[in-house]
Amino acid sequence: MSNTKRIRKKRAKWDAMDVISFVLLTLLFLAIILPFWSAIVVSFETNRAYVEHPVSFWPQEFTLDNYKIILSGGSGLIAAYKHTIYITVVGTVCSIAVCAAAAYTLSRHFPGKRVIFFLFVFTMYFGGGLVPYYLLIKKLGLLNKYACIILPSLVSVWNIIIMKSNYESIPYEMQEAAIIDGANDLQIFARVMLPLQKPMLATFSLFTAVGFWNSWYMPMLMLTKGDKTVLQLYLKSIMGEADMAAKGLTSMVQDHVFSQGVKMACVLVIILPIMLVYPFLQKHFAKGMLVGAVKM
Amino acid sequence: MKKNQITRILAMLLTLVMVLSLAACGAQPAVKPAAEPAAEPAAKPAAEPAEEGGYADTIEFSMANYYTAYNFSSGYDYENDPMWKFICEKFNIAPELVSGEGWRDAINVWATAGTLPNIVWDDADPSWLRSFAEQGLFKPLPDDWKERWPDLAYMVSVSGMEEAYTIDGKLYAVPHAQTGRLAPAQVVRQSALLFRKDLAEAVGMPDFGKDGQCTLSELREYCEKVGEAGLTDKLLASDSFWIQRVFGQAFSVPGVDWAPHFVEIDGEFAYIPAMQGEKDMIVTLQEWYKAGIIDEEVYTGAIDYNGEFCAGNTAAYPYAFSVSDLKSVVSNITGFDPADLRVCVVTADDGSVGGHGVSNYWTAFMFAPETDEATFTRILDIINYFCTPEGIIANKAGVPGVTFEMQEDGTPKFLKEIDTAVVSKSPFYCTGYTDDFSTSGFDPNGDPALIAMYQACANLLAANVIPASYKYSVLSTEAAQNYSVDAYSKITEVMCSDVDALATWEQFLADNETLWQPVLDDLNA
Repeated sequence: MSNTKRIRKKRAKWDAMDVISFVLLTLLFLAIILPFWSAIVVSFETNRAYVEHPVSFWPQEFTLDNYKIILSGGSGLIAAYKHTIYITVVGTVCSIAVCAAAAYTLSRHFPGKRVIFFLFVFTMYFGGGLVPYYLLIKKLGLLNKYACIILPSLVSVWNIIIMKSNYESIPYEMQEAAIIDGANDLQIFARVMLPLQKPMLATFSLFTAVGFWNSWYMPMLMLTKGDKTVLQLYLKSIMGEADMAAKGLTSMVQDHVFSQGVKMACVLVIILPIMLVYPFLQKHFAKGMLVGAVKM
Repeated sequence: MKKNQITRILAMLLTLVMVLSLAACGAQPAVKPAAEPAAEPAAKPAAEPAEEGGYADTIEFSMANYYTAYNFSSGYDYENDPMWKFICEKFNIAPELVSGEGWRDAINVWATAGTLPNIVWDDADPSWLRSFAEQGLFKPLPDDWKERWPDLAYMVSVSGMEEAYTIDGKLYAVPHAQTGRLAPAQVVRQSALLFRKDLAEAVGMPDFGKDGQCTLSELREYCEKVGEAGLTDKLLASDSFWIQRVFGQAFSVPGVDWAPHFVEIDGEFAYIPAMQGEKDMIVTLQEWYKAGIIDEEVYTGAIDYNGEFCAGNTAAYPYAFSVSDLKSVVSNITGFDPADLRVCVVTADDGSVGGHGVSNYWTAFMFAPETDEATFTRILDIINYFCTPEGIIANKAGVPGVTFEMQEDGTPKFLKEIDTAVVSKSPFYCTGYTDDFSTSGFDPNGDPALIAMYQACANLLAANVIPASYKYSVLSTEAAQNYSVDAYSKITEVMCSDVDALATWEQFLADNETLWQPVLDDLNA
């Protein structure tokens, strides 16, 4: 038997540890996937079916009513999607650009670097609180503008620190070679450093995008005009309305709203875009997860 | 200077700045003198026709409406809403609607930052309102508000919240009374038991809940028999909140879901959690829970009990409701014949019922301090209109002259069917009374049987349950401001456990005595 076949044969055998690992990982998989599957099932179920069988693997009585309620917002839902996509895309691109540039700068040596870096880090320890933050946004004239959501989140010191350490791990010789070839700092950053940081950038892009996508509290406080409602706020109001309708308190009552089903449908509507984007970033994500493990 | 010394000095300076800012935030305003006792309820104003015209200038203001936040967020074109257009034209206003989503969180930030919309909407518990009013973050009504806006004044008086919202002699919030102008004012917000006539008959108790009341023993018997027959999955199932309210009435004690937990009885204040009736109620609740009568998921509060009852899975459902709520329950019933829905008050075995209840109101309006007098007058004119008979009906039925018209005898004549979906999306929905129209019997879509059931319970409660009193003197003392005892959660915890209920409760009272005893001493001084 050739060595290859011998190795393959050896690998095909399962020992006790393999079995235990398989079982544990299967249980972990089920623990992760079953709540998600349950949400899908409940979102396509009627109230009566849900009440009689709160946990089932398939909708007992299939209905699209829950999605109809959400999607009946029509232009409201589409507008909320547009606003959220705009904030997410613009915010993510700007944030990554700013953080990457700041991190590269801080990875270089220049006078006062330690003081500037300390000032960056210092902002992680203290915050002014919600009301001073709101007052600042108001005084800057940013209320009811997309900038009030994008600008404050542009700079993530945590991301900068991680990126900085990553830049520092790149051998200086690579930059020397670029300098010898006549590249200036901007060209070194754009053509040498950034391409080497793709996994890291992909990871942070995903985290940042998810952060912008999920934001609702600041939009609730600062985007009070209906023309800039974000998706999370729109769906939160549906869920709140569904809850009150279940208690017979609001205008949704005539729609026989099934609050649990509407909630689950909301969850799926919210996470669907992220789920569609994630596969394209997955290969970078796996590498990027180790970024934080490098020595600083 | 050495580097270490510089670092130390910087650290000390920073610490000093933090301490100073904390000290500045901790400064308390001087305790205001107690307000005068509330006046007698205002007399019902005569139903005079509304003034025509009289608004030459267009007033702009902003309003946040939580009630229709969903419609706002979903992009509902409120500017083409019929009621919106009617009110804007009638009062010559150009309001701007601001999302009321987030309710209390948003108001807290907006009020502190000085960007509060001219009108906001909140549950407005008196303690919270007082803390904001004393900082000048809400605008009080003018001193002559009762004379200038009599219909609004009448609504405030029947809501039972006038005293609670009066601080230093000024009214800081306009509560929305549930009933009182077209229908008799309910003394307290309805908390009673929903059950099924078909189940009662099936277990040989056809007279259960007759005349809108049942005793604790009868309720237990009903639940046990339904359980033995296996007719429903759950016997008595509701949020702990409603269970405590409904059972509290049977034991003649107020609910403890809303601080402060002090009540005045015959001129002397008592601490509700320490009352004998409260202890008896807790022991009984635990006993019923252990016997499997109260649903085991009460502790988690994760079940949609309303849905469970409507699906036919529950035998008895303690709940607080209005006629509108009952209508919505009926419309959501899928598990049994809606005609079998019944309602009753739970009494003690000797037929007594008492305690205190939340007053005849649901939520309130507050106003931004920056609102100028002309704007404020116009806003109050609008609210006053919605407190008139025509305004009450318009709020729930549609535009006057289009959906209905008022007759000389003060009753409405409906010109077309009420489009409930459109009416309930209006940003002005529930300005004024929240359920007066539905309870009055004028609603052409109303169910007289539901109204009769509701009224039977309301009459029994009105005769026996005292509306909660929110005396300024209770809330203004320093001890009261420091009081923070979560008695409600503790009751739920004890109810759903195997501990000695009475001993545990006595220990709980002893552990928190330093918090409640000083308040009691101040009140009874």
